Amino acid sequence: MEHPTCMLEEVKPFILDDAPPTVYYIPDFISEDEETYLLQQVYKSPKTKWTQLSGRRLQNWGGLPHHKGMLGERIPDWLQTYCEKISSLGAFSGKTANHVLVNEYKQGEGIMPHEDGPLYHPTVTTISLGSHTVLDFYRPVSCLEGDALQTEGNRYMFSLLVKPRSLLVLQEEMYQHLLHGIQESNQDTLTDKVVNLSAAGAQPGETLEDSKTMEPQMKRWKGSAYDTDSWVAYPVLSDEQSQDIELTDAFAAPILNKRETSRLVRELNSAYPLNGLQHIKRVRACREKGGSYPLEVLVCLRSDALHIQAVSIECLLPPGMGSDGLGEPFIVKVPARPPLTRPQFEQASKHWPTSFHEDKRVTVALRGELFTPPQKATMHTYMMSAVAAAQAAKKMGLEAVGAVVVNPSTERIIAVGHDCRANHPLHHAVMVCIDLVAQSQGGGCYSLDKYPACRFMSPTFDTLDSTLDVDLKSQPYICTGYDLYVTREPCVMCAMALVHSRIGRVFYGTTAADGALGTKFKVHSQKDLNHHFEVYRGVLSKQCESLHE
Amino acid sequence: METDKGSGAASVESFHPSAEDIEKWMTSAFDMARDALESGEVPVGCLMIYKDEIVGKGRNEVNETKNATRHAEMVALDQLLDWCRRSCLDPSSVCEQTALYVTVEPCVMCAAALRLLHIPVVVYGCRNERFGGCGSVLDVSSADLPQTGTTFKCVSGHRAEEAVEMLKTFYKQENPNAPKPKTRRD
Repeated sequence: MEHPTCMLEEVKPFILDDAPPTVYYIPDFISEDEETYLLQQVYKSPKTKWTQLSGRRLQNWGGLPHHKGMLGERIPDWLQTYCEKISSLGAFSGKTANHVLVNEYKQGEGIMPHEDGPLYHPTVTTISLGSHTVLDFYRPVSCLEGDALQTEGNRYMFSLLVKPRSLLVLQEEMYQHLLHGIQESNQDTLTDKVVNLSAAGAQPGETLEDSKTMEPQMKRWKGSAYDTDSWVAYPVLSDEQSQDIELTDAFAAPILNKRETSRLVRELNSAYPLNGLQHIKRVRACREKGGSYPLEVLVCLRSDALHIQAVSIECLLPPGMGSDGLGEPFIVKVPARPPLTRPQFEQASKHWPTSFHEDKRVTVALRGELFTPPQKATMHTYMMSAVAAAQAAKKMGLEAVGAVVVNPSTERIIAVGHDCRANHPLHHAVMVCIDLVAQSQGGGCYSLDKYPACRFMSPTFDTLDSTLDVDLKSQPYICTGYDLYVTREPCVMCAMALVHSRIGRVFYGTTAADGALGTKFKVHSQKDLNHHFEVYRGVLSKQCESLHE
Repeated sequence: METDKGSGAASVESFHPSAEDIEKWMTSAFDMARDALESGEVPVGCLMIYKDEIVGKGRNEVNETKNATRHAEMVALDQLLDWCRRSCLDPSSVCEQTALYVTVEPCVMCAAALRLLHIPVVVYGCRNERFGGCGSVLDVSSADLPQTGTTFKCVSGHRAEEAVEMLKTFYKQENPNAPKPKTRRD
């Protein structure tokens, strides 16, 4: 279905002029019959569809973000109709909403101030059923200047009264910058801070009794909206995995009579067991087509026969083993170690047949195909945040490096930081992010007041977490399980700081001359260290490179 | 050029800590390490000395800050920078004449931080087999990293056995903040 690419002219009169851009409030968007029908459908859904949170319970329709990509799910028809109807107003730039959260707030329940995050098209549309809600809006923490105590009170800006059967559309600044929440109270007295009193048909000073409210919220996951084909993430493997294979010399000989093969192999295995070279196959098919003997066998390593002067098959074989059945020996090169990756296997096999226990994940990763398009879209948004932070640093005359720490199991950004070396010579972007994560856990010690682009998300704002994080009771511990996105390869100080912080994975855009995750060192796969992690380079490589032009 | 080179070498030469300096400052560093051990902290003591004055004195602050990079050396470097600010002295000229005395070889991260601040000399007790950045795990102190500050000189081995004993005692205790080890998946 084709939708208009921006909101239709006929809904423009519903824009609230007293709020930042842009709020549409459309009273009586649905009829009372439709309201009753929707409530019935919500309660007919299986009990298992509900997730109980503190202060509300919710149904999630249309799939969940997952670190292995979006797990899509068909939206049931009763909700799909309304997704279509709202999308036809142009709310999702010509696309249809594909995710619905149905929130139920009982009397006196509410939700902490939060934002809906970068995974969505920046629009949220809400139909209200049952009772009214007063939705409060707050400035984000980092926007206040100076050292003023950042309480919910002084961050509060204004409220909206949302009546049953109305449609509320939040876009642009209202979606991207402000936090929204619902106070836990049993009744709401309407003040002049409620900016849509007349649109909602209410009077200042009026008191509304709170009762149960149902709010289906339609959103659209960002998916393939990005040009994720413009970059490829390649793994940064350990030296053992990425180096050229090592070869060693050995003697091979043609098998004169094919029928003798199994006897020869048995006798050679006992005379010259290839200790430590179990990956090498004993017999190979002859390379030259039309050769007189189709099979060749590995007799022994050259190191097994160093004492032998004149090389002949009789000299090579131990006393007691007859040389009948074998032709004259010749020197071949065989791989000294088992191949760890497909490129190493292919290189090894050119010399002598080799067995290979393939790690399919590594093979796919080396082809640059480990991440699916939805996963790449998510990675793209994170690195875009890191690039934006780097640009903010550049504007302040700082080194243009930005970094973002993400919890991949909830797909939430925990911290955004950039280089702050003007403040302190060791406050590289990664060090700043590590301290911001500590701050999000109630610790930390860097003072970053001067840098509004450096910020963290308190986990208490992360309300969607509880639906996704099965292990809710486990407190976050430094950067355990988190991913880092950084525009430039970290230096050796930052790389080791990530080891100490037990980071989960690191993604970077461009390499650095003294980089320690691939260029000068591979700290992430360094033997002897107590923590190792995966590293991928090339995420948004062009944008990250252009930061340093 | 010749004279420049000569005077540079001379100042580094004259800067090299004397046996008395080492004895004196390492005694203080070991006292700090023992205090840390007795209060359940990582037993590392560390001092930054500029012109025979303590300008930084650190102990590990990982647990209270929930920031795993707050090693004693990083804390001491912060104090050194604060000291420069208070004394209205240029940090880089102070750092160039500051020595670090520490009971255990600095880790890879701290060694890089010392390079980035151009600290020329590090005197340490025992090797740090788990994390050491002056040769035990990596040799950051002397590696060719033109964009990561300057290399520094190490003087090692002072009361090494005693430092090792303290570390062993500490690592026998459990870290109550670490997550419960999970069973290996492979």
